[in-house]
Amino acid sequence: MSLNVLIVDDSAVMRSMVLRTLQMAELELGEVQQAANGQEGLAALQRGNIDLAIVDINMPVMDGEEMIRRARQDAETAGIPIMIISTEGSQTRISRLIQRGVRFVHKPFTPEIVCNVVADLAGEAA
Amino acid sequence: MKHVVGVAEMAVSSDPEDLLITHALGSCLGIAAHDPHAGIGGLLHVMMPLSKINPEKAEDNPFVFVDTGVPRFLDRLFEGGARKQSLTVMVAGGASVNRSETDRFSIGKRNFVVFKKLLWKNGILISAEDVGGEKARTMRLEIASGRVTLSTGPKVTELRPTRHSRQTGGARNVA
Amino acid sequence: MMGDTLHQTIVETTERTCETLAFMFPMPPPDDGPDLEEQQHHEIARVRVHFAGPFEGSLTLSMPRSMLPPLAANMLGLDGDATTSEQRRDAACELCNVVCGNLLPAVAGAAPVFTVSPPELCDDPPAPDSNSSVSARVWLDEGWAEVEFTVKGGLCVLEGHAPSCGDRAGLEPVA
Repeated sequence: MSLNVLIVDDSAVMRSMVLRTLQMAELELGEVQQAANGQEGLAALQRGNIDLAIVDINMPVMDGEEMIRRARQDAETAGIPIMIISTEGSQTRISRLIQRGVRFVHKPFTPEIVCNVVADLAGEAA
Repeated sequence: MKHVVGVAEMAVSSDPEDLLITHALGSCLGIAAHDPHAGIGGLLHVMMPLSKINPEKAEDNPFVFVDTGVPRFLDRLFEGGARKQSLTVMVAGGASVNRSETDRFSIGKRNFVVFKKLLWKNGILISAEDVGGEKARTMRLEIASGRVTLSTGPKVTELRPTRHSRQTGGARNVA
Repeated sequence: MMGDTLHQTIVETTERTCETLAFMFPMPPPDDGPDLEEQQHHEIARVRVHFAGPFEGSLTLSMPRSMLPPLAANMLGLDGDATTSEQRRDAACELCNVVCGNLLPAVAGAAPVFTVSPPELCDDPPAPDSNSSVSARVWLDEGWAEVEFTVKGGLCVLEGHAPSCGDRAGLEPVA
């Protein structure tokens, strides 16, 4: 089964880095959508057909934390596996997000760490 | 058959009887690559990060430098039938063996950074690593199985590839 | 956290970020020291982020424009001349963002929550003020990067925010 992924980050270079990492992972990648802020990301999630969302936190318009909060409140999107890739260093905020059932990878990341988490989440989604 | 890979050398083999071995990996990097489907593997021993410090030397022997040696090493494996998707790459060495040298500017660390950059560029993940520290290592690759072992003195450990797990692979003791 | 300690924290954070994000490794400063005249002729690229939390301030990242092509190329896994000017600007912005995100918990500890503004290119150099800012330059294989960390109200505001020993949350990958 191929994995449809949404990448949400305000940096186009970072989105390309995440996409490159996904292409290195041992998984069948389906459609990849990109969004530059939480609002666009939430809209993409609500359109459906996303198996995994990879989300930054600090973004303009709507940050990743708010996007995830809203996604979890909507029955249609509440169960979508989410991985955060962010520079966030506050354990207070990270713990709050992990309680919403997301996985967290710190920037700067290595592709090996991201691939391992993606593999875990893909396994859960399957 | 046992083949010793010297400093700034590499060997590629598809003979399941072969064992490739390289000694004295201090700040140098030992890179073992293996494709179980193609039945081919190789071992590379590179010394220095960047060829720009001595292009003539790199021309004479590209396997002195990470940035010239690793691409040629991968090319040889691909020419022999290896495929990127099934290639397992493990790396060891990159130690700070010269105690008078500060860690910040160590050759070993630079070697590893340049190596990671090349793999990123080529879209290849590191399956397992045992890098850094202060001790010299010996690295062995069995072509039949792809098994990689490291030794530091009498202690032998196996580098086990891990993907799809939560931890990057690393050295483990062998009973 | 004051003065020398903060300077060292900035150096370590910037080096680690450049290494992991952009595969650039630290180098010793040039033998004859910085060539000030040459530096003045460099075109400098500057990016700034503002942060707000238990204390407020900004982080300005400066680097020679000549470093932008290799920075973007390394991050994207491409050849040096294969990137667009937009990608080069974006790469510098992201580097600034990641340095800031890693520096704040190293300075303030793991508990406080900061809001960090989107990074923006800026023309004005930071105004050096030893009472409110610390600046540190790291030398890299592709050039150098200078970080100016400024705290509104002066560095004395940081008193009481020093992380405990070993409290380096945010500096290590969490999976």
